[in-house]
Amino acid sequence: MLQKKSFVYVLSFLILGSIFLFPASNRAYAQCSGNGVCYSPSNPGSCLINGVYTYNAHTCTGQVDPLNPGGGCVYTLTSSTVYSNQPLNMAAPNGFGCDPNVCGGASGGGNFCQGSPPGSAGGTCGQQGSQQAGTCSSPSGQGGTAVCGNCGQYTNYCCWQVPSSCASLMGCPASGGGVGTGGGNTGGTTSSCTLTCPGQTFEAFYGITPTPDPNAGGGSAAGGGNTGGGSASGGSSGGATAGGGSATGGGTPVQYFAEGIAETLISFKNASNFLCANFQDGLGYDGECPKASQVTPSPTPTGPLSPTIPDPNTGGGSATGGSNAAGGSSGGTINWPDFDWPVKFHMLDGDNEKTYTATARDGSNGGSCSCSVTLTCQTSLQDSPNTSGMIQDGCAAGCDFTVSPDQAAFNTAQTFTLSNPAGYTDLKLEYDDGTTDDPATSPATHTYANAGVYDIKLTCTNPATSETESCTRRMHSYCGDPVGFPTPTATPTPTPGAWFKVKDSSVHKRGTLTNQLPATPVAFDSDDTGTCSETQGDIACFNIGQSGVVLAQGSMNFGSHPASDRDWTREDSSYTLNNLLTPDTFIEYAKARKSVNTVTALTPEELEADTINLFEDVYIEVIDDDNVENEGDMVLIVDGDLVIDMGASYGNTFNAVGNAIAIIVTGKLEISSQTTELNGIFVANEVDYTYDVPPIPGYVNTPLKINGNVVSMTDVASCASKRIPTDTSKPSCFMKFDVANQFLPLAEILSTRTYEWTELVP
Amino acid sequence: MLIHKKKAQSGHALMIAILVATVLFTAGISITSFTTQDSKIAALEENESIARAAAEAGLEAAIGQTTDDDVNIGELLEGSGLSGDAVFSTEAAAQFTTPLISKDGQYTFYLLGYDSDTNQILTGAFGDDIRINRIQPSASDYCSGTQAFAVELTFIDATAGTGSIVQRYLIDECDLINGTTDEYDFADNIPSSSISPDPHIVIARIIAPSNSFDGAKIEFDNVASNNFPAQGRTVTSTASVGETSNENVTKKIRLFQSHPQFPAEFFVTSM
Repeated sequence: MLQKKSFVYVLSFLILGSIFLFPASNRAYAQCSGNGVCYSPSNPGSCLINGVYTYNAHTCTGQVDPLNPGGGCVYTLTSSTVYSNQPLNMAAPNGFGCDPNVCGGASGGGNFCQGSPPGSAGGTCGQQGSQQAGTCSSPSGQGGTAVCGNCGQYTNYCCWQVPSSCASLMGCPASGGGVGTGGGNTGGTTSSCTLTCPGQTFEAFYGITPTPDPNAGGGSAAGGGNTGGGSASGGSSGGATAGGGSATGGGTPVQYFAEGIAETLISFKNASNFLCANFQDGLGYDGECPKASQVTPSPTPTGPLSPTIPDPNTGGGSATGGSNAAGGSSGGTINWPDFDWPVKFHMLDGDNEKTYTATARDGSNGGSCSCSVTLTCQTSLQDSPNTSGMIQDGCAAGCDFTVSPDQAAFNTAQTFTLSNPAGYTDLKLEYDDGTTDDPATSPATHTYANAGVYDIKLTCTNPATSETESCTRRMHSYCGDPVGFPTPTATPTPTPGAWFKVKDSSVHKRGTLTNQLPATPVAFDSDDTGTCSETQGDIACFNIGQSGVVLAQGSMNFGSHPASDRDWTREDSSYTLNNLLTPDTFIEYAKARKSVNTVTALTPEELEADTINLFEDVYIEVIDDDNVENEGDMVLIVDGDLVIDMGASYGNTFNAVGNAIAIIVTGKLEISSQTTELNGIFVANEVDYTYDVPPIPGYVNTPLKINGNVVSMTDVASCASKRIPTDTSKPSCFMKFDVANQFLPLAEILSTRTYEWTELVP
Repeated sequence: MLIHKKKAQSGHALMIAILVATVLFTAGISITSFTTQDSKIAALEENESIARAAAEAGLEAAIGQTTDDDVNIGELLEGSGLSGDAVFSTEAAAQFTTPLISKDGQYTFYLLGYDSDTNQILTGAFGDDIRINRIQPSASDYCSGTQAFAVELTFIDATAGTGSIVQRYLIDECDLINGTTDEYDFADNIPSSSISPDPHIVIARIIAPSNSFDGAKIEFDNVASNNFPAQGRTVTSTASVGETSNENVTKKIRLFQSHPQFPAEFFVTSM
């Protein structure tokens, strides 16, 4: 909200400031189409020619542009300058500038008019605009002496002269020609001139005569006309302004004013060239970039930039044409004194793509041109840096190095074996990623944090003579293991993540069962044997051994492998499991039908073997010792949450002795990440197989094995979701259903009975 | 005239009084008779309730024992005037029909029996072929509606220390489950030779997609007509009450308690 308000304030300020700063004397032609439709090229058809013509803040005069017979009109800026990406044909007769014979015009300065636009009543100086009759003064802050005079073909306008000390002309010569001094209506060339005084900015437009005056002998540049060369009268140098069109005087000059169209090529090593495609002038224009011919980079950007190629139609180069054209500046080009090219264009972000943006700014008018390129991983194997083809510079005088491994992914440590000419013992190795070994010793090791293309430079210096030799080799750091490049398989096998498997079990997943096995699974341990394919005997199934039905209340996916040897499966999102017995209802059943030992702590004093131990009203209980397992076979019901956290002192194992223990939890069963083995039957309303996984990286490497059974009454994240082994060809979790050692010994206490009641004699 | 009229009126009043008295007397007699009969009925009903409760108490006492000793109800309810007993019986047969198994439920069938005294599953050799017959739903087109179901059979060797699941079979006449390996239909012979080592219990799990499934009863059928062991304890409890023959009431109730049943909710992995 605050930002929005601030934006409104700033906008208002800019508008008011523009009105104040840019008086109504700025005039320019805009093209018109047809009969009297005046438009700005950036907003065609925005005003009509008849009556009062309005184009936004501009007023169309209705005067036909003599340079555009098919249309064209003059419009006057009332509050701001004109920005057009179309040729602004600033006809001399209606151009800007005062008659130097009236206003004088000192060299280097500018003479400006104040008054109504051409086409309106001329009147007496001071009668136009805000000026009072008989008065004539220059706008505040622009200084200069204001006099009444002629402004173009109009008379009695207030003109003023700006001292040369205030002039800062872009694209105009410092002396001669230029704004105002170029003789106003009789010549001059198109230029964008900015007159800057301390604290003030005044923009003006200057007109050209596109068709060379044969009498002038020299295109439009010389100001032409009969006045003997435009600016010549104003400037002693008499030089043409800004090239002034083609030297040959032929063709139609295409002049770009303030805004222009340009393009430039920016290349990136090992990346495709890309176009500078977006230009912003800083004042609202957002369109095509200047053409290469319009760009003179200064200073030279870090990245390769295509050289400026002057467009013959836009002048440029030396104005060799007319006699008055004593050379001229690089007319038709735009200087970009401020380049903001990224220093490096050659690194990714780890193995993620990275976008670089280059920006060129015209420091004079605030325009900028942005270009961007997005780098992605290499898709082909490049030459080894150890080959001669990858030498970028030097390496011929014995100052050289080799890289091992020469084809490596990022985050791989690489060894650089350095060699140096005799005596050149001071070594410096620049890795081109911002790090340098100085001094460097052989062998050096380095690990690149980002994939990319690196020009590695070794500098060998003779400390006695300070002579140096160097060697620069290019090396590619890949996103992944480059082995196998460059031919990816047409149908690559998806790389599986962590996964889990079961043995001898029937499975009912309360949700989807997405558990992709790798192409060639590796056994979890020696128990991970059994039948997957009875004919092949492999283990590449989700459910090995005596597999039962695998049913998922949703889809199931085991990659390219079957669920089991029998492959009994059912995917049924509408299947509703009929849970008659839950941990809660089992408590009620046990209390009614079984012998129950109620405990208040999981201690040897309270726990009893071969019975049901009930721990009621538990908020959260923790098993982190061997009290339970040492007691013997039992059913333990925890009415609450239970944490099992078996540390290293217990071998990270619960019930290592292998007693038959069933743990029934009415709440959540939380297993710590350091616990790697559970022996027993674990039934809970909810199970978290790695409750304490750190947020970064969000998983642990520790596997989990369960001998017995595990049942979560609700759909929970897979055991493998947060246990991701280093070797994902192995399952993260392995659940071995153990009926003999866990279920059968508990048959009496971990069971129900059915009853059939019949009244024989009613 | 007035006097005569009064006399006539006095006569009418007497008649009315006599009639009222007669009605009241008759009604009183009737009420007394009804009350006596109701009392007899109520006494009989009370005895029936007492006898039923006594029989149930006998069942409870018998089932509550860890052994299969008979229970003397007279001694159990000493001083109540009740008599009777709760007697265990063995019901071994070549066929056994399960109770109604609900959707997603399972039934544990003991091929060689269960020792209630030691709480041990009896093990040993079992060499008979078996059949699984569908009892309920009985309709031949049961697959076409909500009563479609499949049965997963898990044969378990319960030998202490070395036991394991030795075989699984699937009866899926309704094609509810993908895959056809190791499938049988109802009434097919499941040869003992296909189950090795010898199983000792069979767990039959019902898989029924419809929530309107009414439950299933299946029959374990010994193809060789050898008796299966009792699948639980059967207690018949008889209780009598009443001092006279007219008042004597006897209630006889039979209760079948299965051997331990592993609940499917704890047996089927869900992770």
